[in-house]
Amino acid sequence: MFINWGLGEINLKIVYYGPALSGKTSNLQYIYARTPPHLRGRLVSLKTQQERTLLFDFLQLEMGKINNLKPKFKLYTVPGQAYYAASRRLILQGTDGVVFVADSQAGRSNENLESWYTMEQHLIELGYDIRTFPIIVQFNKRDLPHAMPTRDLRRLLHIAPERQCYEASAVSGLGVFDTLKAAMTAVVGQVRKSA
Amino acid sequence: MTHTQTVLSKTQLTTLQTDMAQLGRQRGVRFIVLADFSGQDISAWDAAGSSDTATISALAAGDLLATLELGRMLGGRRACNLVVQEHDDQTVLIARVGQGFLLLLATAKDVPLGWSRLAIKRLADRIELVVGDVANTPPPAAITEDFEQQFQNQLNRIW
Repeated sequence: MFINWGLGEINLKIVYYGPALSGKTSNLQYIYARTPPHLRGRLVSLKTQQERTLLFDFLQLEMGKINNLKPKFKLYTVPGQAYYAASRRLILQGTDGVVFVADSQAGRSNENLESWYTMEQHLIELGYDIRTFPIIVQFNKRDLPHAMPTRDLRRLLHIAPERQCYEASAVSGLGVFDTLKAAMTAVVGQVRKSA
Repeated sequence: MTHTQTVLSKTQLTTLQTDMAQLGRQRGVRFIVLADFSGQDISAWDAAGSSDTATISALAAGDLLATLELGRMLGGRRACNLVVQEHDDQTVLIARVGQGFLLLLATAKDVPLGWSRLAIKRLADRIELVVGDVANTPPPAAITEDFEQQFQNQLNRIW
């Protein structure tokens, strides 16, 4: 978080984290496409030749002023593939909240589990208290066959009952803004609590 | 390591902007931005006035952090002080400022690299004096219950 009192801005960072091909970039693409142009910056994607995220995707969203303070949100995704662990840790640095994008397909349980644990590990290493840190969970790809029941996904990832989870299909947009709004609200709430 | 929160006063920001503008007036200087390691842009000077400061800051932070990590993986410490990029038509330098900030300077190609290195080093030193104490500053009560409610209403109006 960075508060610029000169310009009256509060800058907050949210990272979309999750296993490879779980739909993190699709979330940002949908948000970009459905947000009024005056409220968003450009969507920057650093991709490999195979159209996979190399370092991160980035999108800035800007809200209107509230009590003379304009909230600005910087949304990042991390590269999901296992060998980009160092990049993921770097991008989590300084984040104010995380959206964990899980792949609901039954065959992706191991990837979801590994990604969840590495996320927790990185956050702990970076000094965050993961019991209170804003982590919103999105069960993506609900539209695909063989999607696991959400209660099984919660059990698999040991998600605490109080943690907010959303079902989504990022390609069609289902649940994308519910997840984003929950993450933004949680981050703003966390800033207030820590004040 | 703790979760850092950067809060700068108007006076600090004015000082930063004055220092950056002073360097910006030199011949061949195109763009200067101060950002933190999480990619948040803090202050910028832009000759063209149209650069996407937020995105450049995010990319610069990614670049410097990746370079720091590269050094560590090659057996060194995470202690890179300067990244120099020689582009066809410009030179871009990214310097580490203290333990949590970076400074990016873009100049025309014909600006001597030695001058740019010295200029960014001097500005980084000056900036460190200004921002040096802000790491781990607890946030002020900028966000109240009323702010949260209004924020929620705004979200529902947008999407």
